[in-house]
Amino acid sequence: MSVAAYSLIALYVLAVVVLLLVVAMAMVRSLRVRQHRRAEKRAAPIRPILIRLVASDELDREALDMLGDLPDKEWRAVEPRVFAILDKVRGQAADSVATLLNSRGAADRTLRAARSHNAVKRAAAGDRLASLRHHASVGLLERMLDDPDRDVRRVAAVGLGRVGRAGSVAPLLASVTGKRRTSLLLVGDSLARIGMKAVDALVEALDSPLAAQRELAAGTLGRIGATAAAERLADLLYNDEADSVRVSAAGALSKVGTWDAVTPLRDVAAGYAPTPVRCAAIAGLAELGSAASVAMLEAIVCEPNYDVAHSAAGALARLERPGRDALTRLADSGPAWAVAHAIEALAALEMDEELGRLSLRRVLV
Amino acid sequence: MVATVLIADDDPDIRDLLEFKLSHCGYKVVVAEDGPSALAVALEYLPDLAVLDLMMPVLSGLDVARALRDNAETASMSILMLTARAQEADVARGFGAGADDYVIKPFSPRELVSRIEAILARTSR
Repeated sequence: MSVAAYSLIALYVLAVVVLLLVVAMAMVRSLRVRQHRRAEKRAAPIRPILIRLVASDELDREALDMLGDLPDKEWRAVEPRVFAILDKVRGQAADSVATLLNSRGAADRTLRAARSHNAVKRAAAGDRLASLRHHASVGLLERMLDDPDRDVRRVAAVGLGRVGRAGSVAPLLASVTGKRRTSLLLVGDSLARIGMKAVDALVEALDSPLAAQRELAAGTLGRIGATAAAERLADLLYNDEADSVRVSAAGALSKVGTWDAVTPLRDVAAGYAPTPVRCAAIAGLAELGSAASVAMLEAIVCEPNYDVAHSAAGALARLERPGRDALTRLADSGPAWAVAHAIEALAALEMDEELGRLSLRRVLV
Repeated sequence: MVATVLIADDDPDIRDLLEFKLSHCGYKVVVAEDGPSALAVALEYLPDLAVLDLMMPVLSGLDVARALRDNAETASMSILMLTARAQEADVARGFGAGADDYVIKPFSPRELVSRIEAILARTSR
């Protein structure tokens, strides 16, 4: 046989394999859709009882018993809905749903799945453990932060934020460094979700030898609005050896929003510091709405350092009328490079206002 | 007179839960599953209070709140934002759009009803 004939046969075989794959995928999909519809149909009459359980101000024993006595087949259909509702409520409503799930053995099943060899099963179990707030959840989720699978680690980090225990702050902070690390952003969200309970451990972490942990701790203290940490954040902004930590401290100080925050931000914005740190301090002054800083920012727009001058013009645009007046002055009579920054900031301001007007018009028409 | 509450949320669990809860508390409840239908229902029933989800399809809760505030018939309607977005800026945007209160998901149904009662008590004075 010639090479062309072999190629033709190979093509035919490939086409048949592709066709079979497509048919198999369509069949699996259709099967799943049918299974889902059947489960929805089975769950529909049970849903009002579930809603009644969730809506009750105290544990509705009657509804709990009705759901607890459901045959396994019907329970399997309704269980995903129960977990879905659990994630949307808190207080007595969440306690009632967790009681129901625990009475149906969901916690034991989830704990078993959390030790599975399959990463997808471990991740799903981590998510459910966090929802259930089971007494064994926290330790297991903290161990999952060191799981070989990245997605399991992510689920564990998010889950610990949802559970919201102060004791999880240290393992969460540790999870952003090392070989099996989790994203700074994601862990930051979880720490912020723990809220004021996390403050003491976060302040302690400002002394960590690892810059990533100091950066994260500072940023989270800002997000939480920990006014008690303002002095430590100012110290970090002035003195930390890592620029990333100083940038984070500047942002945090502006979010903490106390009067103590203005002076360090002004000092760093105006004085000698690396460009990213000065830019962060300038943005922080705008975030604070510091109208007293307008004259200083106006002077910074006239500096030859492009990034710093650009940030200062952007900050002035956020400082209402005094900032806009300063930009207008600069656009009329500033040095050439300052005129460019001022015109750009004023144009962006007008564009934002016009977009706001357009959006409102779209809604009203 | 029985107060009417509009619930606008694309999540059927939240809609059904709040409809059940508020009906049992004696309120007349009307529901909508997206922004445009929330506006239509609000104009048809002129409810005393609207519970708006921030992230709804087509028109967000913010857009609906602004439109309600800009319409003479619905301008004085009380608005409570219900949302999973807990950032400071999101909350500020909610109040900026005209919300009277802001509740973050996951929420306590009991607390939500208390807030609704407090808003309605304030506005009926």
